[in-house]
Amino acid sequence: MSVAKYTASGDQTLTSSKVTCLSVGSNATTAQRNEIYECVLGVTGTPADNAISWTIIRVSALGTSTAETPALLQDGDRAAQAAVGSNHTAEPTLVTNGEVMKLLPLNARATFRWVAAPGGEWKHAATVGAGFAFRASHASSTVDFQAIAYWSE
Amino acid sequence: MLLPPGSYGYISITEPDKPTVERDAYLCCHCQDLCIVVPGSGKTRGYCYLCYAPTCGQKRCSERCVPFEAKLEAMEGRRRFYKQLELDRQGEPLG
Repeated sequence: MSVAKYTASGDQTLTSSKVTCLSVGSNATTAQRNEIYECVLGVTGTPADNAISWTIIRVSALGTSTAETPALLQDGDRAAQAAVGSNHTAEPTLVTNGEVMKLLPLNARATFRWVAAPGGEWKHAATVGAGFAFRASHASSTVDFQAIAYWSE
Repeated sequence: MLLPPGSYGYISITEPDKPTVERDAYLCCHCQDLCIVVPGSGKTRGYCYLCYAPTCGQKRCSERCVPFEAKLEAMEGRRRFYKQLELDRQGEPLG
């Protein structure tokens, strides 16, 4: 059975405390599970040798952000139901011990890509507000960073 | 550590003027933590013989078997229960 696949990206400006650039989760009306099978992390600003600390964490509420419209990866599929936001102004509510990728230090010049094995995708519960947040921080750099997520519903 | 063929995910880190770093990766079957396989790192991981899959090696995932799918169902069950009782996520009455 074919599943619908979507992608979206989000960016944010680095600060010394972790901020969220992208959140993907269950929408407020029709809760559903989303399965993230690929993500790309990087910096969109002027590259420099800074070690940016990334984390991807489960959330129970998606915070306040700019709504993003996911793109379909397969023509003919329905529009995405996932609630996707970028450039958060209010951080999502983080789940305690909910990190699925802990504190990955990544040079600002580098691009990181993860692809899941079939059946090995990140999944969240079909509850309103549940999802994932892509976050990063740096002690002094204030460049813009970006995350791209690919998921199936 | 051996996994059935095709069970590993994949990560790649590309950087200018440096060779691309590519590693196998898998998700812990109990918590879905991303575990990057670095040969010779000495990092201790675990293996669940009930799920027949590797774990992240943390104590909370090694001491008992709770498949992540079961955790998802428990989260969803709590939400449905609260909804039936007309309570919010914190267990407080709605409205």
